[in-house]
Amino acid sequence: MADYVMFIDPNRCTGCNACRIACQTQWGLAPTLKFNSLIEQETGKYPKVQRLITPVQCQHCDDAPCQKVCPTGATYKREDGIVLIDAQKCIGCKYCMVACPYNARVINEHGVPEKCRFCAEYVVNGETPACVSTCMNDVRVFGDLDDPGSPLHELLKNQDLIQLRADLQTKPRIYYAKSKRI
Amino acid sequence: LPQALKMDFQAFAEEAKHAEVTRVPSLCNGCSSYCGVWAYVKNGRLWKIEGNDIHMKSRGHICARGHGIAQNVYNPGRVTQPMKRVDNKNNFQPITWEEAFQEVGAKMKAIVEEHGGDKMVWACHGGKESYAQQFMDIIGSSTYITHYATCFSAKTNIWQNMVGGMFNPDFDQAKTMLFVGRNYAGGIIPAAMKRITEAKAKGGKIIVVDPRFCELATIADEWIPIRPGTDLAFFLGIAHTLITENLYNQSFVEQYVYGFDEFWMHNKDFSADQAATICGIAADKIREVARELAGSAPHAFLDPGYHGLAAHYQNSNETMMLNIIINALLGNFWKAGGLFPAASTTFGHPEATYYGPVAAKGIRADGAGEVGEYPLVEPSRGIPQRIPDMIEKGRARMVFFYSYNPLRSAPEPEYQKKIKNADLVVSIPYDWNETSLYTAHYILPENHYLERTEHPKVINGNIYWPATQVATRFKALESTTSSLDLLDIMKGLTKAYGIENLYGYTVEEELEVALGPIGVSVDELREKGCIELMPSVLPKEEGLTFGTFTGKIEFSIGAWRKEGYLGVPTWVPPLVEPAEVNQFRLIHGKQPWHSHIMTTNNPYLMAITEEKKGTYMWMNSSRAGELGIQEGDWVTVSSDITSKQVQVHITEGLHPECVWLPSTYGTFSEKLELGYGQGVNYNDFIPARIDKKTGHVMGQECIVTITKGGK
Amino acid sequence: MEKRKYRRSIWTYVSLLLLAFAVAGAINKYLISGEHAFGVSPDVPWGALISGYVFFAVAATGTGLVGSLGHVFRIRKFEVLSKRALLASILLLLAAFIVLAVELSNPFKMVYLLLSPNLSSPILWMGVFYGFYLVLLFGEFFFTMKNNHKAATGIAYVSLIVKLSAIINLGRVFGFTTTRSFWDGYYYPAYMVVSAVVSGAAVLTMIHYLSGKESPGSFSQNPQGKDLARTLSQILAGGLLVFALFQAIKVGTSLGSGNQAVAQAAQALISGPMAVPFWLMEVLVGIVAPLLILYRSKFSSPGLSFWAGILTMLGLLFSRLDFVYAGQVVPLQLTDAAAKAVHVFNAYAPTWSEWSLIIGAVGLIILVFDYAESKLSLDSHH
Ligand SMILES: Nc1nc2c(c(=O)[nH]1)N[C@H]1C(S)=C(S)[C@@H](COP(=O)(O)OP(=O)(O)OC[C@H]3O[C@@H](n4cnc5c(=O)[nH]c(N)nc54)[C@H](O)[C@@H]3O)O[C@H]1N2
Ligand SMILES: Nc1nc2c(c(=O)[nH]1)N[C@H]1C(S)=C(S)[C@@H](COP(=O)(O)OP(=O)(O)OC[C@H]3O[C@@H](n4cnc5c(=O)[nH]c(N)nc54)[C@H](O)[C@@H]3O)O[C@H]1N2
Ligand code: SF4
Ligand code: SF4
Ligand code: SF4
Ligand code: SF4
Ligand code: SF4
Ligand SMILES: [Mo]
Repeated sequence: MADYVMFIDPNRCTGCNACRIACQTQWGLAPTLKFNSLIEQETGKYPKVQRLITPVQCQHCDDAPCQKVCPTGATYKREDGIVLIDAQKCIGCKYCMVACPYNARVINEHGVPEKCRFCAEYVVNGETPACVSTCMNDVRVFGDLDDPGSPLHELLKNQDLIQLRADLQTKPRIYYAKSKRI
Repeated sequence: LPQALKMDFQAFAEEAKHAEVTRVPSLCNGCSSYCGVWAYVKNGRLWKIEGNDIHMKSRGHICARGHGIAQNVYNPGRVTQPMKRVDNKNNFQPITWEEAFQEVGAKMKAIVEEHGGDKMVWACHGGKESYAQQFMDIIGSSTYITHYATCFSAKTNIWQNMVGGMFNPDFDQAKTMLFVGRNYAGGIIPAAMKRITEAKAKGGKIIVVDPRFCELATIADEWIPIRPGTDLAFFLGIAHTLITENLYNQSFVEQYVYGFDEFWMHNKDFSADQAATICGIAADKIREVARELAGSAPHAFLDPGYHGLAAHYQNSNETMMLNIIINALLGNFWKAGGLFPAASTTFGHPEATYYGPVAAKGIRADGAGEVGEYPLVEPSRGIPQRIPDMIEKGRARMVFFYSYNPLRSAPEPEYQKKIKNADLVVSIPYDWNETSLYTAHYILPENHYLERTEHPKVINGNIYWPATQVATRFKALESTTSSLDLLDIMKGLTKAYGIENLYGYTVEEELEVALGPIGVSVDELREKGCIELMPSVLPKEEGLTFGTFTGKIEFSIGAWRKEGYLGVPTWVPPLVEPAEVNQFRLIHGKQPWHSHIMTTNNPYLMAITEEKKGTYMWMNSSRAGELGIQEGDWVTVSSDITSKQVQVHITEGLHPECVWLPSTYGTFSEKLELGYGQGVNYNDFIPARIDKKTGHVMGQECIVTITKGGK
Repeated sequence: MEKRKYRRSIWTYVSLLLLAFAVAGAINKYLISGEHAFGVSPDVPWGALISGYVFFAVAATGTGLVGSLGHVFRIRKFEVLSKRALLASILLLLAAFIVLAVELSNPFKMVYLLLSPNLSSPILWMGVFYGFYLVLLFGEFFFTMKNNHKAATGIAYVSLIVKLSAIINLGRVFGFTTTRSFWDGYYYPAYMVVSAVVSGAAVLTMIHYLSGKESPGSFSQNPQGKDLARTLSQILAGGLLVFALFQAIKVGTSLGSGNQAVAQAAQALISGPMAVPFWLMEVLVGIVAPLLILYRSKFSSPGLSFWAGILTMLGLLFSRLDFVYAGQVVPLQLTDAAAKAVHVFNAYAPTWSEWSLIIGAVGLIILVFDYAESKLSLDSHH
């Protein structure tokens, strides 16, 4: 069974927004619906200024608050770690949105809170998620930890890693390189 | 409506798997990079695009604009069939292609017969050829104008004069990269950014000099805010340091530089200390940067730049000269991690099918390269911002605009609107851009790029790549409107004009003939999308020659001396300076998710603008504090020629002396509903001026007065 | 049972007007503006309709709770109110369900609560408890109407447990998620219970007064009725005092909380975007004014108590709005690197469509109650 994770290095991100729109066209989303966001922080005083741009999307938490609160089981976790929504079962209560610490969900035209799908139907065929392949700065690396050849092993070993809101113990599947700037 | 919205995602993905998805290679038309893309087409509709891994500008990566522009096939702002102006109030009436050809062709004929063929102006974005040249050769027109004077003509002109052509940076091997007024992360070439971030990961150092904390600064080792318009002083300070501290590559200079002594004679007193008083960067910092560069040389470069400084100031020409001089002092030409010329190749041409009479060429209507007018301006590029002037003086009577929108991309739109006074104005756009709406008598829409097959292009320029690449567009989608390919439009027009068989080939035939000499078949190109030839530009130690008169890099420009100027650069101040407490220099720049001025009607890209408050004008927080301006406040911005309202973004990341505008907004074509009236544009505020030597627009010689309120 | 004719009264027209407003709101949502009809956003996914749902659901349970003083706790004087209390409870709960159904984008998929229940979800249990409660209410009402007090009392015992669970669980719906730290913990289950008692007392005070007015000479005028009115007023006042104390403690501890998100939310409440609804509606109108009225009238004016009840309910509506918004008003802090921006709040303002549905639900309750009042014999005679 695959074990999908993503590595994101915000130190490389320049905020071009290509990931957002690549994902939107991949999934046929309307222009205002998006699965990934960029959190921009400017710090310091002129002329000592820094900016950090952190791409955020569904973290595919192993201990997913959204899944815990979903009354109908519409939100579920696949064995390979990907958290998905079965639109057939979703009553649209938005409890998952309230519970998600990462603001990862957006309501689609059907009233279903959708989110990044880790390109579930494509990665199983070995394809790379659209947000990853389009990124000119190689901010993102996607892979399968069960694949010994994956470059992720090296990356995760050699980098100072953090996870977003680790204090909430959601066990995200996205690992971030620690910010060198802020 | 996107398909996925109508069903759930699993069904969508299933369908994608089972529906027939074809993959067609093309070249993005979002900007001059022409990145290689794969268009995925499902049930006859565009699904998405992906980058072509081979293409040297994209290396598999596509920027936000690329994704957005592909979806423009379905943009409601497209012109869907030929249009004819019916009144002075921008009302048009649809006509058939046959009517359009007959009417336009007849008018062309009448104008040429009465006034001569040299009264025709062809103005286009330019770059990768069009079919117009062949027709202009026959009727005797020289005035083929491109957009370059609004983009970077100071750079290309100076490089041609001093070096004999452009050189481009090799990021991969660089140890120190100095970017001054060049923001690769905002003025994007995807593969360049990929290589810059990779070089950084390998230990390369990035220094960004920009009045604004630009996107590239976010990943830089150092951001040095400079007083806008004073880069020339900063460069002179660096050159002075390199020379006085003996840090420059003397043997390179001895072998390959002409005019060093002349340069030094005029600049030996311009020290880093003097530079510091002008550019606001501490003398020690200037020296530190010079030493840092010299320490890494020749694996170091000062990026030659693109738009950022090359059409902006009275001193842009000299600034570009210093760019070359600093790189030459570092001795980095033809060195790994330094600068290289572009690899190139030549295509075959279809045999000529026209053997009729040919008129003698007239002078250029814009005076570019003409004695007594603008002798130093490159005639191959021209002076697009003065088309109204040429019309007023009777030097231009029929003007064609192809894929070009000077009403929004050139200065002073109110002045540009006079273009409609010409006897005949024809625009060949794909959408309802301002030039078409306000000036054209006829609009002849071209197909979207995904709807056309084209003759091949050499992929090179701006960034170093050792091998030539060849690529083209293959038709991925059936046209959804009744627009045509340019070749078919030109065939129709010239035939109606009375030349039967000027373009006696189909584009497929042309493609095959073009590829012949380089031994590539059309099928192979279609299969790979982009073909790389053998590497031909590799590091060289010895025997360098440059395409100048002396075969060396010339620090003193002969053509300038001939015109009575000093041949070497010396300090030239900016033309205008802010003086009052509420005055600022208006500067501008690219936003990563918009292209020039042509993406403001794209719903995906505008959704990003909406979310990021992308139309806001940046202002330094301390200046804003003094004026009592807060984030999101409306202000009135006034220059000599106009006054407009815009909202303000307060930041620490901007030099206090200027305000910064994203250069994309201020769309004023009502037919582009999404973009219409969003934000303002720097071109609103500047008069249509011409730099004497290289013809550029001096786009940042603009002081604005800012007062709170207004909306 | 004698056949009675429904007499249209001022209530009929008022309620129809309110309903018409709701219909307009619903049309806007379903036919015109879609999701944009409501002010909710990805930042503030739960808005006025969730607040409205809580308002009605808690009022339903509270009315049941205070009403059950008669059946369960055998406090005789309350038994005269049993039928009306049960009916009010039913109507309030139905109103709650209707409001919720509009809030849910796909209410018809609720069968999946049964087909694939997720036992860890408090919303699942909310469905279970409230669904069960509704069934029990109908049962109790049916037997009470049939004057089968034995059966009714039997049901009432079960119902008491169910409704207590329902209220506590409703608090858990909010307290369950650590993501929204202002809601996190045990406060909201307790808040729900206390405010249930308050709203129950307020609703019954109002009903008691109105039913007395409608049939002059009946109990609200006689000594027995006056005694009941006083007791209800005292429960209301006592409840309000406890409620005020609870809220004060919550706001106070939140302001002093080391958790920035919690402190900021409390700030938003007392001096941020919710300051006006909080101080004016929740505190002044909802707590101070009714307490003053009750105290000044020495709990013995059914008419003034009625107004105290109305003000209390109005205040509670805003209390629901405030606490639902307060839980989401502070932007989620996604990265811990960021220095927390102070006084940057997620925006939310209920739209007219959202208001219309809540107001329309009130109209529906009045309409049906008024109808039942004239069609059924709701006076209990023991
Ligand atoms: N306001 C403003 N002015 C600028 C700039 C800026 O950023 N802002 N940038 C400067 C620079 S660096 C440059 S390079 C120039 C660019 O200046 P322009 O070339 O004028 O501008 P573009 O936005 O590239 O595109 C011009 C027009 O091409 C048309 N077009 C797009 N695709 C197609 C197509 O496939 N076929 C045809 N026939 N037409 C098409 C669109 O209608 C668009 O209006 O502008 C310069 N001036
Ligand atoms: N996203 C996007 N990418 C593009 C394009 C696009 O339209 N959009 N267009 C393509 C084209 S045609 C071009 S020409 C290139 C342009 O690419 P660039 O030349 O990199 O782009 P600009 O944003 O015009 O200018 C670069 C920087 O110059 C800074 N600058 C302004 N005034 C001064 C000054 O006085 N001194 C210094 N040191 N810096 C200054 C600006 O703040 C800006 O950050 O981008 C290409 N790529
Ligand atoms: S594509 Fe890459 S660089 Fe661009 S915004 Fe996304 S993560 Fe950042
Ligand atoms: S990030 Fe949010 S939506 Fe994604 S799994 Fe975690 S809690 Fe659920
Ligand atoms: S909105 Fe849908 S997916 Fe989210 S918790 Fe409710 S039922 Fe589950
Ligand atoms: S992994 Fe796929 S679904 Fe998720 S953000 Fe990237 S492209 Fe979108
Ligand atoms: S840089 Fe972006 S817009 Fe320009 S050609 Fe490449 S993908 Fe298209
Ligand atoms: Mo450009």
